[in-house]
Amino acid sequence: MAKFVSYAMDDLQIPFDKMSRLSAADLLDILRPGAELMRQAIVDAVKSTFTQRSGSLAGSWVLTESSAEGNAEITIEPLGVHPTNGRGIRKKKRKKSGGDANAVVAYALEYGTPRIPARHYIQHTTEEKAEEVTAAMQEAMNKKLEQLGL
Amino acid sequence: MTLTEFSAALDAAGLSVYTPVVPAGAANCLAWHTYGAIPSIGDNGNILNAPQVQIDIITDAAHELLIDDLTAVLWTLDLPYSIQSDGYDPDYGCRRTILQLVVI
Repeated sequence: MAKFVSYAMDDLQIPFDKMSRLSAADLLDILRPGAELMRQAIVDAVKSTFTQRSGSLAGSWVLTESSAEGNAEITIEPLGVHPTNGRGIRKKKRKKSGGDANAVVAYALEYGTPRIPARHYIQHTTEEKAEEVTAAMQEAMNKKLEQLGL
Repeated sequence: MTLTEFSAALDAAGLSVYTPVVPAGAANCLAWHTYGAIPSIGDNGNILNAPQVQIDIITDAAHELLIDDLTAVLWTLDLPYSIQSDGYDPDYGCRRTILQLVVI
């Protein structure tokens, strides 16, 4: 399945001695503004690239935070199920529920299928927004370090 | 390396090559397409836009080693790649391995 991993902390200028004094919660506070910025950029890309019936996919992108063993991670992913559109199918024969997962739809649109051209909308967005996202996290980190007196 | 040279190298690997996608029902073959370009500095110092390429390799259970044949070709060409996805793809009914690389 499609996976885009950005080791954002590698892009930030954090001295090791200060980094070691940040808790997982602090790291999440630093990552969150950049993650939210990227999530919104992906939503905007979905809306502008797939203008028809993009609502379910566009609205499905969420941030999932995890902090285990001192490591902080925020995943941006589409959750939920994409409803079937029933287009061209008689109303009686339409499936009442159960489309593909939004993640499957996002994957198909990103990499293509035999019938759907690959659009690479996520990759283009992450490449375009990388600097802005890093700057947002850098700003959050500076504030955090100042707040903690580091 | 130009895209023409890249395409010729893939053809020489002995697999059926399609572009931009492998048609439904086909297996043990590959398809490639460009999806962007990134600025790179060439050996002569000139900046050029190197094309970003996606390769889809579609294999059935009996021919999974074809992936190794293709990656061997890429190593021969000095083209590092990243594996974006690898697993069963319901649209093709086969294993689909997606590689991305920059042709330079």
